[in-house]
Amino acid sequence: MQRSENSFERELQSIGQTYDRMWRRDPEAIWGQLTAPSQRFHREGAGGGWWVAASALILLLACGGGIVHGLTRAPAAPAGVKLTIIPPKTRTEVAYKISSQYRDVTAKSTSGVPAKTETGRMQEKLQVLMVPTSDSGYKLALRYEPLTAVVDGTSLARGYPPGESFNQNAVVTYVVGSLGKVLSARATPPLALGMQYTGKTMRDPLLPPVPDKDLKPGTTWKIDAAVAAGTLPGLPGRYTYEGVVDGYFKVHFTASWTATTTPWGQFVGEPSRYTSVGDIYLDPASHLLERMTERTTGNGTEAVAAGAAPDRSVFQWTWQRSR
Amino acid sequence: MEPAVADEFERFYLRNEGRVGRFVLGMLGDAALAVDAAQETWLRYLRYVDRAEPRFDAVLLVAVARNVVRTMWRRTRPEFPADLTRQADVGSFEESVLMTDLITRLPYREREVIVLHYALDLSLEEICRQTKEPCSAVKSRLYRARRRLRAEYLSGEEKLYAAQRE
Repeated sequence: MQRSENSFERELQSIGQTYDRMWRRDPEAIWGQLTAPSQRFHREGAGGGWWVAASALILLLACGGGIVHGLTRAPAAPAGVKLTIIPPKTRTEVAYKISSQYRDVTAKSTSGVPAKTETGRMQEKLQVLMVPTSDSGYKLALRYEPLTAVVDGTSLARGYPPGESFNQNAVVTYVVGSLGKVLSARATPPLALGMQYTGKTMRDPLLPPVPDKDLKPGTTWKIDAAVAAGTLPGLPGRYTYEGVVDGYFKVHFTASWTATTTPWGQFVGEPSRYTSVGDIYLDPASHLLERMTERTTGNGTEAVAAGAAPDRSVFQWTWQRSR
Repeated sequence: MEPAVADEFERFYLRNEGRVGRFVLGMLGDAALAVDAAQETWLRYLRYVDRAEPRFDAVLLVAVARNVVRTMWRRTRPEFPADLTRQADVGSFEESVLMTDLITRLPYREREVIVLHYALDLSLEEICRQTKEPCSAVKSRLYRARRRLRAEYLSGEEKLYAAQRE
Protein backbone atom coordinates (compact mmCIF):
# COMPACT_ATOMS: atom_id res chain seq x y z
CA MET A 1 0.00 0.00 0.00
CA GLN A 2 1.38 3.33 -1.03
CA ARG A 3 1.28 5.94 1.69
CA SER A 4 -0.42 9.00 0.43
CA GLU A 5 -1.81 12.33 1.48
CA ASN A 6 -5.09 10.57 2.02
CA SER A 7 -3.69 7.90 4.28
CA PHE A 8 -1.68 10.51 6.17
CA GLU A 9 -4.81 12.54 6.80
CA ARG A 10 -6.79 9.46 7.75
CA GLU A 11 -4.21 8.26 10.25
CA LEU A 12 -3.79 11.70 11.76
CA GLN A 13 -7.51 12.26 12.11
CA SER A 14 -7.95 8.90 13.79
CA ILE A 15 -4.99 9.25 16.11
CA GLY A 16 -7.32 9.64 19.10
CA GLN A 17 -8.84 6.23 18.38
CA THR A 18 -5.37 4.78 18.00
CA TYR A 19 -4.35 6.07 21.42
CA ASP A 20 -7.61 4.76 22.80
CA ARG A 21 -6.85 1.31 21.50
CA MET A 22 -3.38 1.43 22.98
CA TRP A 23 -4.67 2.75 26.27
CA ARG A 24 -7.50 0.25 26.46
CA ARG A 25 -5.34 -2.65 25.43
CA ASP A 26 -4.96 -3.22 29.10
CA PRO A 27 -8.12 -1.79 30.58
CA GLU A 28 -6.39 -1.81 33.91
CA ALA A 29 -3.44 0.06 32.54
CA ILE A 30 -3.95 3.12 34.64
CA TRP A 31 -3.71 0.95 37.66
CA GLY A 32 -0.60 -0.77 36.56
CA GLN A 33 -0.10 -4.44 36.13
CA LEU A 34 -0.21 -6.39 39.27
CA THR A 35 1.27 -9.23 41.06
CA ALA A 36 2.09 -10.99 44.12
CA PRO A 37 -0.23 -12.53 46.66
CA SER A 38 -1.47 -9.59 48.56
CA GLN A 39 -2.14 -11.42 51.74
CA ARG A 40 1.58 -11.61 52.28
CA PHE A 41 1.39 -8.08 53.41
CA HIS A 42 -1.38 -8.81 55.78
CA ARG A 43 0.88 -10.82 57.95
CA GLU A 44 2.48 -9.26 60.87
CA GLY A 45 6.05 -8.55 60.17
CA ALA A 46 5.74 -9.21 56.48
CA GLY A 47 6.83 -5.83 55.31
CA GLY A 48 7.87 -2.75 57.09
CA GLY A 49 6.68 0.76 57.38
CA TRP A 50 4.23 1.63 54.74
CA TRP A 51 3.41 -1.81 53.58
CA VAL A 52 2.20 -2.53 57.04
CA ALA A 53 0.14 0.63 57.09
CA ALA A 54 -1.22 -0.09 53.66
CA SER A 55 -2.02 -3.63 54.62
CA ALA A 56 -3.72 -2.52 57.74
CA LEU A 57 -5.82 -0.19 55.71
CA ILE A 58 -6.94 -2.94 53.44
CA LEU A 59 -7.49 -5.31 56.28
CA LEU A 60 -9.72 -2.91 57.96
CA LEU A 61 -11.62 -2.42 54.77
CA ALA A 62 -11.79 -6.14 54.31
CA CYS A 63 -12.97 -7.06 57.71
CA GLY A 64 -16.58 -6.81 56.81
CA GLY A 65 -18.83 -4.18 55.34
CA GLY A 66 -17.41 -0.80 55.87
CA ILE A 67 -18.17 2.72 55.15
CA VAL A 68 -15.51 4.26 53.08
CA HIS A 69 -15.22 7.95 53.33
CA GLY A 70 -12.73 10.25 51.82
CA LEU A 71 -12.38 10.46 48.10
CA THR A 72 -15.27 8.24 47.27
CA ARG A 73 -18.93 8.13 47.98
CA ALA A 74 -20.01 6.11 50.94
CA PRO A 75 -21.53 2.77 50.05
CA ALA A 76 -24.70 1.65 51.71
CA ALA A 77 -23.16 -0.60 54.31
CA PRO A 78 -23.10 -0.79 58.05
CA ALA A 79 -20.58 1.33 59.85
CA GLY A 80 -17.49 -0.22 61.25
CA VAL A 81 -14.65 0.94 59.13
CA LYS A 82 -13.94 4.44 58.12
CA LEU A 83 -11.23 5.59 55.84
CA THR A 84 -10.44 9.24 55.64
CA ILE A 85 -7.96 10.60 53.21
CA ILE A 86 -6.48 13.60 54.92
CA PRO A 87 -5.90 16.51 52.56
CA PRO A 88 -2.19 16.77 51.93
CA LYS A 89 -0.38 19.67 53.51
CA THR A 90 2.43 19.55 51.05
CA ARG A 91 2.66 18.50 47.47
CA THR A 92 4.29 15.20 48.26
CA GLU A 93 2.47 14.27 51.38
CA VAL A 94 -0.39 11.88 51.45
CA ALA A 95 -1.95 10.89 54.68
CA TYR A 96 -4.88 8.86 55.71
CA LYS A 97 -6.57 7.70 58.81
CA ILE A 98 -8.38 4.47 59.27
CA SER A 99 -10.77 4.06 62.09
CA SER A 100 -12.56 0.94 63.01
CA GLN A 101 -14.13 -0.76 65.94
CA TYR A 102 -10.80 -2.44 66.59
CA ARG A 103 -8.32 0.37 66.44
CA ASP A 104 -7.33 3.55 64.71
CA VAL A 105 -4.46 3.73 62.36
CA THR A 106 -3.12 6.99 61.16
CA ALA A 107 -0.57 6.91 58.43
CA LYS A 108 1.30 9.65 56.74
CA SER A 109 4.01 9.63 54.16
CA THR A 110 6.14 12.52 53.17
CA SER A 111 8.70 12.34 50.48
CA GLY A 112 12.18 12.63 51.85
CA VAL A 113 11.45 11.46 55.34
CA PRO A 114 13.64 8.47 56.06
CA ALA A 115 12.02 5.47 57.60
CA LYS A 116 13.76 2.46 59.00
CA THR A 117 12.57 -0.82 57.60
CA GLU A 118 13.79 -4.34 57.55
CA THR A 119 15.35 -3.85 54.19
CA GLY A 120 17.46 -0.92 55.11
CA ARG A 121 17.17 2.81 55.23
CA MET A 122 14.53 4.07 52.93
CA GLN A 123 13.16 7.33 51.82
CA GLU A 124 9.71 6.60 50.74
CA LYS A 125 6.64 8.11 49.31
CA LEU A 126 3.17 6.75 49.31
CA GLN A 127 0.33 7.97 47.20
CA VAL A 128 -3.22 6.91 47.63
CA LEU A 129 -5.78 7.11 44.92
CA MET A 130 -9.34 5.99 45.27
CA VAL A 131 -11.57 5.97 42.27
CA PRO A 132 -15.09 4.63 42.13
CA THR A 133 -15.79 1.83 39.73
CA SER A 134 -18.89 1.46 37.62
CA ASP A 135 -20.29 -1.22 39.91
CA SER A 136 -20.31 1.05 42.95
CA GLY A 137 -17.09 -0.36 44.27
CA TYR A 138 -13.76 1.33 44.43
CA LYS A 139 -10.31 0.98 43.16
CA LEU A 140 -7.76 1.94 45.67
CA ALA A 141 -4.27 2.40 44.41
CA LEU A 142 -1.43 2.74 46.80
CA ARG A 143 1.70 3.86 45.10
CA TYR A 144 4.69 3.02 47.15
CA GLU A 145 7.86 4.63 46.02
CA PRO A 146 10.95 4.21 48.08
CA LEU A 147 13.14 6.75 46.44
CA THR A 148 16.33 5.25 47.71
CA ALA A 149 17.04 2.26 49.82
CA VAL A 150 20.44 1.45 51.16
CA VAL A 151 21.05 -2.20 51.76
CA ASP A 152 21.98 -3.13 55.28
CA GLY A 153 23.08 -6.31 56.95
CA THR A 154 19.72 -8.02 56.99
CA SER A 155 19.37 -7.54 53.28
CA LEU A 156 22.64 -9.27 52.74
CA ALA A 157 20.90 -12.54 53.40
CA ARG A 158 18.56 -11.74 50.58
CA GLY A 159 21.37 -11.48 48.12
CA TYR A 160 21.97 -7.78 48.06
CA PRO A 161 25.48 -6.55 48.71
CA PRO A 162 25.65 -4.21 51.70
CA GLY A 163 25.99 -0.56 50.98
CA GLU A 164 24.43 -0.83 47.55
CA SER A 165 21.41 1.24 46.84
CA PHE A 166 18.43 0.33 44.77
CA ASN A 167 15.12 1.78 43.86
CA GLN A 168 11.86 0.03 43.99
CA ASN A 169 8.58 1.43 42.90
CA ALA A 170 5.35 -0.36 43.23
CA VAL A 171 1.69 0.23 42.87
CA VAL A 172 -0.66 -1.98 44.76
CA THR A 173 -4.20 -1.79 43.57
CA TYR A 174 -7.09 -3.10 45.53
CA VAL A 175 -10.53 -3.41 44.09
CA VAL A 176 -12.93 -2.83 46.91
CA GLY A 177 -16.53 -3.86 46.44
CA SER A 178 -19.50 -1.78 47.36
CA LEU A 179 -19.67 -3.44 50.75
CA GLY A 180 -16.10 -2.60 51.50
CA LYS A 181 -14.82 -6.08 50.73
CA VAL A 182 -11.53 -6.41 48.95
CA LEU A 183 -12.32 -8.22 45.73
CA SER A 184 -8.87 -8.40 44.29
CA ALA A 185 -5.41 -7.08 44.78
CA ARG A 186 -2.58 -6.68 42.38
CA ALA A 187 0.78 -4.98 42.51
CA THR A 188 3.27 -3.68 40.05
CA PRO A 189 5.97 -4.41 39.40
CA PRO A 190 5.51 -8.03 40.30
CA LEU A 191 7.08 -8.27 43.68
CA ALA A 192 8.18 -11.79 43.01
CA LEU A 193 10.04 -10.74 39.95
CA GLY A 194 12.76 -8.85 41.65
CA MET A 195 13.67 -5.27 42.10
CA GLN A 196 15.12 -2.68 39.89
CA TYR A 197 18.66 -2.93 41.01
CA THR A 198 21.12 -0.33 39.83
CA GLY A 199 19.31 -0.06 36.56
CA LYS A 200 18.70 -3.67 35.77
CA THR A 201 16.06 -6.07 36.85
CA MET A 202 17.30 -8.65 39.23
CA ARG A 203 16.32 -12.19 38.59
CA ASP A 204 16.21 -12.71 42.31
CA PRO A 205 12.67 -13.78 43.12
CA LEU A 206 13.40 -12.75 46.68
CA LEU A 207 13.73 -16.31 47.76
CA PRO A 208 17.19 -16.95 49.12
CA PRO A 209 19.01 -18.74 47.78
CA VAL A 210 17.73 -18.62 44.22
CA PRO A 211 17.69 -22.17 42.93
CA ASP A 212 19.97 -22.67 39.98
CA LYS A 213 21.82 -25.48 38.32
CA ASP A 214 24.48 -25.47 41.03
CA LEU A 215 22.06 -25.82 43.88
CA LYS A 216 21.68 -29.43 44.95
CA PRO A 217 18.22 -30.84 45.54
CA GLY A 218 17.73 -31.30 49.24
CA THR A 219 19.44 -28.04 50.10
CA THR A 220 17.69 -26.50 53.06
CA TRP A 221 17.82 -23.02 54.43
CA LYS A 222 16.04 -21.02 57.08
CA ILE A 223 14.55 -17.60 56.81
CA ASP A 224 14.00 -15.76 60.02
CA ALA A 225 11.30 -13.22 60.66
CA ALA A 226 13.54 -10.27 60.03
CA VAL A 227 14.37 -11.46 56.56
CA ALA A 228 11.07 -13.03 55.60
CA ALA A 229 9.50 -9.77 54.57
CA GLY A 230 9.88 -9.42 50.89
CA THR A 231 10.76 -13.04 50.29
CA LEU A 232 8.62 -15.64 48.74
CA PRO A 233 6.29 -16.57 50.27
CA GLY A 234 7.05 -13.94 52.85
CA LEU A 235 7.06 -16.33 55.77
CA PRO A 236 9.74 -17.17 58.30
CA GLY A 237 10.51 -20.87 58.28
CA ARG A 238 12.41 -23.67 56.64
CA TYR A 239 12.75 -23.97 52.91
CA THR A 240 13.95 -26.93 50.88
CA TYR A 241 14.92 -27.01 47.25
CA GLU A 242 13.50 -30.23 45.88
CA GLY A 243 14.92 -30.03 42.37
CA VAL A 244 13.27 -29.66 38.99
CA VAL A 245 9.72 -30.95 39.01
CA ASP A 246 7.58 -30.77 35.90
CA GLY A 247 10.11 -28.43 34.40
CA TYR A 248 10.09 -25.99 37.29
CA PHE A 249 12.32 -25.37 40.27
CA LYS A 250 10.32 -26.60 43.20
CA VAL A 251 10.83 -25.22 46.68
CA HIS A 252 8.96 -26.69 49.63
CA PHE A 253 8.44 -24.61 52.72
CA THR A 254 7.21 -25.01 56.27
CA ALA A 255 6.66 -21.78 58.06
CA SER A 256 5.33 -20.55 61.37
CA TRP A 257 4.17 -17.06 61.82
CA THR A 258 2.10 -14.83 64.00
CA ALA A 259 -0.47 -12.42 62.73
CA THR A 260 -3.43 -10.40 63.80
CA THR A 261 -5.21 -11.48 60.65
CA THR A 262 -6.14 -14.76 59.10
CA PRO A 263 -4.22 -15.80 56.01
CA TRP A 264 -7.07 -14.58 53.88
CA GLY A 265 -6.95 -11.17 55.44
CA GLN A 266 -9.66 -11.20 58.05
CA PHE A 267 -8.73 -9.09 61.00
CA VAL A 268 -8.99 -11.08 64.22
CA GLY A 269 -7.46 -8.65 66.64
CA GLU A 270 -5.34 -10.75 68.94
CA PRO A 271 -2.18 -12.19 67.40
CA SER A 272 -2.55 -15.84 66.51
CA ARG A 273 -0.04 -18.46 65.58
CA TYR A 274 -0.27 -20.03 62.15
CA THR A 275 1.62 -22.77 60.39
CA SER A 276 1.93 -22.88 56.64
CA VAL A 277 3.17 -25.69 54.46
CA GLY A 278 3.43 -25.24 50.75
CA ASP A 279 5.32 -25.40 47.49
CA ILE A 280 6.67 -22.72 45.22
CA TYR A 281 7.40 -23.32 41.55
CA LEU A 282 9.76 -21.06 39.68
CA ASP A 283 10.51 -20.87 36.01
CA PRO A 284 14.09 -22.18 35.63
CA ALA A 285 15.05 -19.66 32.98
CA SER A 286 13.55 -16.50 34.34
CA HIS A 287 13.14 -17.45 38.00
CA LEU A 288 9.69 -15.99 37.80
CA LEU A 289 7.04 -17.35 40.08
CA GLU A 290 4.96 -19.83 38.12
CA ARG A 291 2.60 -21.13 40.76
CA MET A 292 2.32 -21.67 44.46
CA THR A 293 0.23 -23.74 46.82
CA GLU A 294 -0.14 -23.43 50.55
CA ARG A 295 -2.02 -24.97 53.46
CA THR A 296 -2.28 -22.93 56.59
CA THR A 297 -3.64 -23.93 59.97
CA GLY A 298 -4.05 -21.96 63.13
CA ASN A 299 -6.54 -20.17 65.32
CA GLY A 300 -9.01 -22.98 64.82
CA THR A 301 -9.02 -22.70 61.08
CA GLU A 302 -7.47 -24.45 58.16
CA ALA A 303 -7.22 -22.95 54.73
CA VAL A 304 -5.68 -23.89 51.45
CA ALA A 305 -4.56 -21.47 48.83
CA ALA A 306 -3.32 -21.77 45.30
CA GLY A 307 -1.94 -19.13 43.04
CA ALA A 308 -0.63 -18.98 39.54
CA ALA A 309 0.77 -16.45 37.15
CA PRO A 310 -0.60 -17.66 33.83
CA ASP A 311 0.69 -14.76 31.81
CA ARG A 312 3.72 -14.12 33.95
CA SER A 313 2.49 -10.70 34.92
CA VAL A 314 -0.48 -11.26 37.17
CA PHE A 315 -0.32 -13.56 40.10
CA GLN A 316 -3.78 -14.73 40.94
CA TRP A 317 -4.35 -16.15 44.33
CA THR A 318 -7.36 -17.87 45.79
CA TRP A 319 -8.07 -18.93 49.34
CA GLN A 320 -10.46 -21.62 50.41
CA ARG A 321 -11.34 -22.13 54.00
CA SER A 322 -11.78 -25.75 54.80
CA ARG A 323 -12.83 -25.32 58.38
CA MET B 1 -15.59 14.75 50.14
CA GLU B 2 -19.33 15.09 50.20
CA PRO B 3 -21.21 12.15 48.69
CA ALA B 4 -22.73 14.41 46.05
CA VAL B 5 -19.32 15.69 45.09
CA ALA B 6 -17.98 12.17 45.01
CA ASP B 7 -20.78 11.20 42.67
CA GLU B 8 -19.91 14.07 40.44
CA PHE B 9 -16.27 13.13 40.55
CA GLU B 10 -17.15 9.60 39.52
CA ARG B 11 -18.96 10.87 36.45
CA PHE B 12 -16.17 13.29 35.68
CA TYR B 13 -13.58 10.55 35.98
CA LEU B 14 -15.46 8.14 33.75
CA ARG B 15 -16.01 10.89 31.19
CA ASN B 16 -12.40 12.03 31.08
CA GLU B 17 -10.27 9.03 31.94
CA GLY B 18 -9.80 8.21 28.27
CA ARG B 19 -8.91 11.79 27.39
CA VAL B 20 -6.22 11.87 30.02
CA GLY B 21 -4.95 8.53 28.75
CA ARG B 22 -4.79 9.72 25.15
CA PHE B 23 -2.95 12.86 26.12
CA VAL B 24 -0.30 11.32 28.35
CA LEU B 25 0.24 8.42 25.99
CA GLY B 26 0.60 10.74 23.01
CA MET B 27 2.96 13.07 24.81
CA LEU B 28 5.18 10.55 26.53
CA GLY B 29 5.10 7.74 24.01
CA ASP B 30 5.78 5.24 26.73
CA ALA B 31 3.02 3.15 28.19
CA ALA B 32 4.57 2.77 31.63
CA LEU B 33 5.28 6.47 31.94
CA ALA B 34 1.81 7.22 30.65
CA VAL B 35 0.26 5.11 33.36
CA ASP B 36 2.29 6.98 35.95
CA ALA B 37 1.38 10.31 34.43
CA ALA B 38 -2.31 9.47 34.35
CA GLN B 39 -2.27 8.46 37.99
CA GLU B 40 -0.38 11.56 38.95
CA THR B 41 -2.81 13.71 37.00
CA TRP B 42 -5.80 12.31 38.82
CA LEU B 43 -4.09 12.55 42.18
CA ARG B 44 -3.25 16.18 41.63
CA TYR B 45 -6.69 16.94 40.34
CA LEU B 46 -8.24 15.38 43.41
CA ARG B 47 -6.19 17.74 45.52
CA TYR B 48 -7.50 20.68 43.54
CA VAL B 49 -11.12 19.64 43.57
CA ASP B 50 -12.15 21.46 46.70
CA ARG B 51 -10.47 24.67 45.59
CA ALA B 52 -11.31 24.56 41.90
CA GLU B 53 -14.07 26.71 40.50
CA PRO B 54 -15.80 25.20 38.68
CA ARG B 55 -15.01 22.07 40.53
CA PHE B 56 -14.98 19.69 37.61
CA ASP B 57 -13.39 21.38 34.70
CA ALA B 58 -11.96 19.55 31.69
CA VAL B 59 -9.74 22.51 30.88
CA LEU B 60 -8.23 22.40 34.34
CA LEU B 61 -7.82 18.64 34.05
CA VAL B 62 -5.88 18.98 30.81
CA ALA B 63 -3.82 21.74 32.37
CA VAL B 64 -2.93 19.42 35.23
CA ALA B 65 -2.05 16.67 32.78
CA ARG B 66 0.14 19.08 30.83
CA ASN B 67 2.03 20.02 33.97
CA VAL B 68 2.49 16.42 34.95
CA VAL B 69 3.71 15.45 31.50
CA ARG B 70 6.06 18.41 31.30
CA THR B 71 7.59 17.51 34.64
CA MET B 72 7.97 13.87 33.71
CA TRP B 73 9.38 14.74 30.33
CA ARG B 74 12.04 16.96 31.86
CA ARG B 75 12.92 14.30 34.36
CA THR B 76 12.95 11.23 32.18
CA ARG B 77 13.06 12.16 28.50
CA PRO B 78 12.34 8.63 27.35
CA GLU B 79 14.66 7.49 24.63
CA PHE B 80 13.33 6.99 21.16
CA PRO B 81 12.10 5.05 19.43
CA ALA B 82 9.19 5.02 21.77
CA ASP B 83 8.13 1.66 23.06
CA LEU B 84 4.60 2.04 21.79
CA THR B 85 5.31 -0.01 18.72
CA ARG B 86 6.50 -2.85 20.82
CA GLN B 87 3.53 -2.75 23.07
CA ALA B 88 0.83 -2.41 20.49
CA ASP B 89 -0.56 -5.13 18.34
CA VAL B 90 0.85 -4.65 14.92
CA GLY B 91 -0.53 -5.93 11.64
CA SER B 92 -3.53 -3.89 10.60
CA PHE B 93 -2.64 -1.59 13.41
CA GLU B 94 0.80 -0.98 12.01
CA GLU B 95 0.01 2.16 10.09
CA SER B 96 -1.59 3.79 13.09
CA VAL B 97 1.29 2.81 15.29
CA LEU B 98 3.69 4.40 12.83
CA MET B 99 1.81 7.65 13.19
CA THR B 100 2.02 7.56 16.98
CA ASP B 101 5.71 6.89 16.68
CA LEU B 102 6.20 9.85 14.40
CA ILE B 103 4.22 12.09 16.72
CA THR B 104 6.38 11.05 19.62
CA ARG B 105 9.45 12.17 17.67
CA LEU B 106 8.14 15.68 17.16
CA PRO B 107 9.62 18.51 19.22
CA TYR B 108 7.78 18.77 22.52
CA ARG B 109 5.63 21.81 21.79
CA GLU B 110 4.71 20.67 18.30
CA ARG B 111 3.80 17.28 19.66
CA GLU B 112 1.61 18.88 22.26
CA VAL B 113 -0.38 20.89 19.78
CA ILE B 114 -0.86 17.82 17.57
CA VAL B 115 -2.03 15.69 20.49
CA LEU B 116 -4.37 18.38 21.78
CA HIS B 117 -5.86 18.99 18.36
CA TYR B 118 -6.10 15.51 16.93
CA ALA B 119 -6.20 13.21 19.93
CA LEU B 120 -8.27 15.38 22.24
CA ASP B 121 -10.29 17.04 19.47
CA LEU B 122 -9.64 20.52 20.77
CA SER B 123 -10.26 23.31 18.33
CA LEU B 124 -7.62 25.90 17.62
CA GLU B 125 -9.39 28.36 19.89
CA GLU B 126 -9.65 25.83 22.66
CA ILE B 127 -5.94 25.08 22.40
CA CYS B 128 -5.19 28.80 22.62
CA ARG B 129 -7.26 29.00 25.80
CA GLN B 130 -5.62 25.88 27.14
CA THR B 131 -2.08 27.00 26.47
CA LYS B 132 -2.76 30.71 27.06
CA GLU B 133 -0.96 31.55 23.85
CA PRO B 134 -1.92 33.73 20.91
CA CYS B 135 -3.86 31.80 18.33
CA SER B 136 -1.49 32.88 15.60
CA ALA B 137 1.40 31.18 17.39
CA VAL B 138 -0.58 28.02 17.98
CA LYS B 139 -1.79 27.99 14.41
CA SER B 140 1.68 28.29 12.93
CA ARG B 141 3.02 25.64 15.30
CA LEU B 142 0.25 23.29 14.28
CA TYR B 143 1.08 23.98 10.65
CA ARG B 144 4.78 23.28 11.20
CA ALA B 145 4.03 20.11 13.11
CA ARG B 146 1.69 18.82 10.40
CA ARG B 147 4.25 19.59 7.72
CA ARG B 148 6.99 17.79 9.60
CA LEU B 149 4.75 14.80 10.34
CA ARG B 150 3.63 14.54 6.75
CA ALA B 151 7.18 14.60 5.44
CA GLU B 152 8.23 11.92 7.89
CA TYR B 153 5.18 9.82 7.18
CA LEU B 154 5.69 9.83 3.43
CA SER B 155 9.44 9.36 3.59
CA GLY B 156 8.94 6.56 6.11
CA GLU B 157 7.12 4.66 3.40
CA GLU B 158 10.03 5.04 1.04
CA LYS B 159 12.43 3.83 3.69
CA LEU B 160 10.19 0.87 4.42
CA TYR B 161 10.04 -0.15 0.76
CA ALA B 162 13.78 0.32 0.42
CA ALA B 163 14.33 -1.95 3.40
CA GLN B 164 11.95 -4.55 1.98
CA ARG B 165 13.76 -4.49 -1.39
CA GLU B 166 17.04 -5.11 0.35
